[in-house]
Amino acid sequence: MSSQTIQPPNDSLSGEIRSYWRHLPDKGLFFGLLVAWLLLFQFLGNSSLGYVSSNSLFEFMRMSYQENKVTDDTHGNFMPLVVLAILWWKRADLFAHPLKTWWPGLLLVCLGLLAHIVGYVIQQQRLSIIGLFTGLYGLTGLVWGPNWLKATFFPFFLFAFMVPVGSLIETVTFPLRLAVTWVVQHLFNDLLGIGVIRAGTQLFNPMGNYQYDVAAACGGMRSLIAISLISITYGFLVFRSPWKRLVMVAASLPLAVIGNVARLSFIVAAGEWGGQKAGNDVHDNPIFSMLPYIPAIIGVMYIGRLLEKTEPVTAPANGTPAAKKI
Amino acid sequence: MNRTKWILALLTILLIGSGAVVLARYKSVQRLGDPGVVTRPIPGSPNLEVVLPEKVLDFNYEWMPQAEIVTNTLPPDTSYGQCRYTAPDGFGVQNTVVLMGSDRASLHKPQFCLTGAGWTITKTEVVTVPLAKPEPYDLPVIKLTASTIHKENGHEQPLSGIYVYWYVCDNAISASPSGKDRMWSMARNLITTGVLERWAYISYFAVCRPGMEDAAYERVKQLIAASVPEFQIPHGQVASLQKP
Repeated sequence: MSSQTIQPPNDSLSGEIRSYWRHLPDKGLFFGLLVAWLLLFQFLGNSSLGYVSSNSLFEFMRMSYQENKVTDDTHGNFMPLVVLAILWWKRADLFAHPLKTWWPGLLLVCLGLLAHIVGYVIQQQRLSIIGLFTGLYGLTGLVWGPNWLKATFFPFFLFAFMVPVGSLIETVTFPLRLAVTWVVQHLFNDLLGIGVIRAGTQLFNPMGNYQYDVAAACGGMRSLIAISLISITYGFLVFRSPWKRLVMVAASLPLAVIGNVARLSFIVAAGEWGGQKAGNDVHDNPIFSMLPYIPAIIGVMYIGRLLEKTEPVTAPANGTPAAKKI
Repeated sequence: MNRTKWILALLTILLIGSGAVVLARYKSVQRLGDPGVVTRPIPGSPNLEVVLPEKVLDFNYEWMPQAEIVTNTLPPDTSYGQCRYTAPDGFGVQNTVVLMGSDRASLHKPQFCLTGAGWTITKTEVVTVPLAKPEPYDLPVIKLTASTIHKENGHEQPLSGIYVYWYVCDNAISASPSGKDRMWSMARNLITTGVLERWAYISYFAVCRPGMEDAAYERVKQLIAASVPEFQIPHGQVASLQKP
């Protein structure tokens, strides 16, 4: 069954949802296959039973997304909502072309299954998670065709953020933490004239009134992942040029450093004037916890606006107002 | 639903079902390999105790329990061995062995733990320690030189640390900082034989005054040369995963 351009009712959200739902073809086929796919990962998803004593890959993922002192993959809990939100935002694109079954989608399902088998055998759950979403993508292509795959590529790509990185990201965030502590140390010593000693990722003052450790979850990873997600989403939804998307992604690292320098500076300043407890209070304060994101989001918007202005305006032949190509 | 869709549905279900059969079959034949260190069972526990030698050169041996933060963090089927060797002049070396169970993720790299504890790693080297027993060979190890500032009673004292570590399983030794050769070896064995190599992480850690790092390392080397043959099983150049 193919689909046609839909004119959904715009009187209510629920009405619009029902309209798109009615026009989605072969729902029974898709959800039947989806259940089979998910059952595979539920009962034969996780092969290493040390940290997570469950055969379910979903249980492994749930445990991985729990907050702990060493790693932070809590963003994995929110990614399905983010993907669904973007799919809803792009709903017109999804139904703009005919939707039909497409057997080459089975190749993607094969690829996903192969990735999971290898991941299961060698105890690499990250590979199994990649296989899970690759196969899921393949199932949507099998049922709704290549146009659907093309329109949903970016939202599905965001499922990459559901692969728990754990300590792997330390190769990126560890230098980030060192950079943040180095900047704060020099900011206080050289600019403000306040003595701050740095040892590794620890900051303390000569009198020993306070000591703070820029831990993995505190100093870098949480904000880096979130800022990267914002940058990537902005870049892919606003721009079509590959280099502009790349600039948006690359900007996330320095923006994360700036944001964390700001937060750490507040903590150290509080510790300097009020002792360890004052710094801890600032650290635990939910408002101050959002500090890294403020300059980052402002930075993403600012860089995005700059990139939008860099493209020359092209004048069309028929004399209508020029369109700007981004 | 037309005939084509029924065929597609059936093919997909068959594909998923075949995958399930392969995974279930694999799960039934997978087994854990033998450790590369000497162990003994712990009464009433499925875990093992790594047996470290008590008489090594002129060092005094003191058994040390594993910290709760470690035992609470690592999988419950992880096994351990830990002790402190102290020379008559007070020079001390902490020897730790962590033996994985069924989860390959039990073993971690020490770099981030050290730096998180306030140590700054100033140098990372892959070196060798000459061993004479059971046959002469060069044991590949990773040597970290680190520094920190120790605060006590309001006084600050700079300290240096020598951290030496490597990994062993029943037939291989690895001193790769990235762990790639160990991961590759495990994956290859799992795919070809269904055996999960049971790796152990062996470390020696000594603290000294700044400027005394080379002397401290020489003493650690002597301790390694004397103690490792007593509890490490694989030996010889052929066991090393490092290319000479």
